[in-house]
Amino acid sequence: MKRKSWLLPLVLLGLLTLFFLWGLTGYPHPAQLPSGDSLEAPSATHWLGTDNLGVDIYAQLSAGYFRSMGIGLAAAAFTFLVGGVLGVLAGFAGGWVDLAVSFLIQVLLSIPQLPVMIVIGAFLGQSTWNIIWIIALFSWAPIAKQLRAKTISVRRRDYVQLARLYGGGPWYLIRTHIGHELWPLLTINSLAVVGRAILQESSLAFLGLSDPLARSWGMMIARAVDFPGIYRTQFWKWWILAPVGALLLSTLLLRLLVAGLEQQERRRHPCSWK
Amino acid sequence: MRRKLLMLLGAFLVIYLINFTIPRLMPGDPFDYVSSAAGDDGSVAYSEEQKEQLRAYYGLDKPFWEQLGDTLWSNLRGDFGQSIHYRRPVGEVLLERLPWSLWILGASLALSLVIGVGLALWCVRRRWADRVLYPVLSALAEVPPFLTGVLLLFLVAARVAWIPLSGAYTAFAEYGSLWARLGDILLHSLMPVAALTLVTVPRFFFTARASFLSILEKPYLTHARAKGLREGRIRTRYILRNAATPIVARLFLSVGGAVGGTILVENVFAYPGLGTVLREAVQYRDYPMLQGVFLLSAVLVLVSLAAADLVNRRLDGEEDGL
Repeated sequence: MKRKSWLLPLVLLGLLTLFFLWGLTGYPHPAQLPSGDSLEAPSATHWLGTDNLGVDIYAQLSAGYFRSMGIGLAAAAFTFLVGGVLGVLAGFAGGWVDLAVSFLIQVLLSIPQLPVMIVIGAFLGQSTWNIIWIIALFSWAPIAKQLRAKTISVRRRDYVQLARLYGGGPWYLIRTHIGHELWPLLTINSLAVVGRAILQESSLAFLGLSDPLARSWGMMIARAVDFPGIYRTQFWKWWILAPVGALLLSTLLLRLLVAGLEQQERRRHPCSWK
Repeated sequence: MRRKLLMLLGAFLVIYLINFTIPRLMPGDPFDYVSSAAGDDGSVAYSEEQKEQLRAYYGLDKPFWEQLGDTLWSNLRGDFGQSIHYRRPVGEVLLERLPWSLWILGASLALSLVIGVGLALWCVRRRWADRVLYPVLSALAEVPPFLTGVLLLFLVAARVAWIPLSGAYTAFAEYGSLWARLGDILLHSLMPVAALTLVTVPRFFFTARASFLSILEKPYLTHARAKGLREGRIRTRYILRNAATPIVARLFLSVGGAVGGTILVENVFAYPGLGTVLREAVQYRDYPMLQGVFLLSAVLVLVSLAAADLVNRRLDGEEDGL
């Protein structure tokens, strides 16, 4: 049980995905159109009730889950590619390449993220792809920074220097000696981006910077909070707690998954981790 | 270390350039927008001549660098343009709203510092507290503050009658004294500050914890105990004082995240700071306002990063001197 602590969160994430897949395919109510009265309490027909326009909340949550996961995975893929390539490049090439990449990383790390995201998002317009680009733009820098440091430390080791003296080219060195040391760092940290990107998307959506036609958890919360007098009613119990709970649960599971993988990696390679 | 300051200056230039170029990279012409917004059927379009005239009037026919110079010059004089939504100068609105945001930001950072350091001190001394708090706080660290805000709003503020739900003060209230007024303001900021503090505490907790743990291994503590100094004195003179520098640096490093958090939290509680202005600016496409808030928050964050650097440099200097 203690050996594979990533297994349980992974299984739970799978179950969560199935649960929301059912909401998208088998469940009779659409996520975009009203299917009942306004603000119905949860019942057998509307499992999690309806919002002020009579749109089913479970159906909206399901659409939001796949949207969030899609955005998270896309941002993670971008981070994996750009962070990996630039980090290794800066660490391996050194010289002015390193200086340029390090400067870029430092700038991105010191810029206040949310305000920049808001400004870029407001000007680019509210489409899902723009949100992905904006989140991805900021997500790769910390990983590239770690990879750069790691590459430099591995490159200095004796056996890598020896292989180099024997005439190993840069690509050969990266592939055989450096790559496998960086691989877990890169994959696990990219996976961690998924959860973070989901939360960032929800923050932007909460501020009204997401595709207004798509069903997004952040936007559901924003619309519910803006509903006049919602504090005096019972509506928030299904209208607000459902998206907040979904957001917290899915990101918590992702975090536990990442923590479990990290723990396993640390056990397997006690010295080389970080 | 001077490199770091140069880097921050570079970051500011990048931010400034982004801020300046983004509206100019947008497809379309501002005067297309004005003309189609004026008439619903689009019949009130400007003629080419009128557009030329308007471009000349706003200086948009000049070359890129000249426009940049003009903008820089007027920004330096404190002129950030005219807000479209408020119909007032951007700088004026910013100055009016800034104190509210600074209050939320400062109060929650100060509170997080105290709570985070206190919890860290407790955890270092009691293993079971550490085992409970460490996972809880590391889960809290990544929760966006608008979620804690929403939860506090519905689970606490909506049930407790004396906690106000939104705003920064009671509208149209007549205060008997300055104290009554301050109390009202304090009460209104209770929930926003709490929401932000909840997610900022972990940052201080982790920094302080790591700092304490590294100091507890130092031989001078054993020496101090061997001298028979009392625990209280060891805690204040030896542990807290030596752990202070990274914690103070963390205070300045946290401003960046806290600015983002303030923006979100203010919108949950309709608090009249920069965050609500920013959301309105997004809603009404009030671009000058948007850029003003952005520049101001960027300056705030970069200045505090420079301060963090200064604090760290002091630490390095001390270690060199020893």
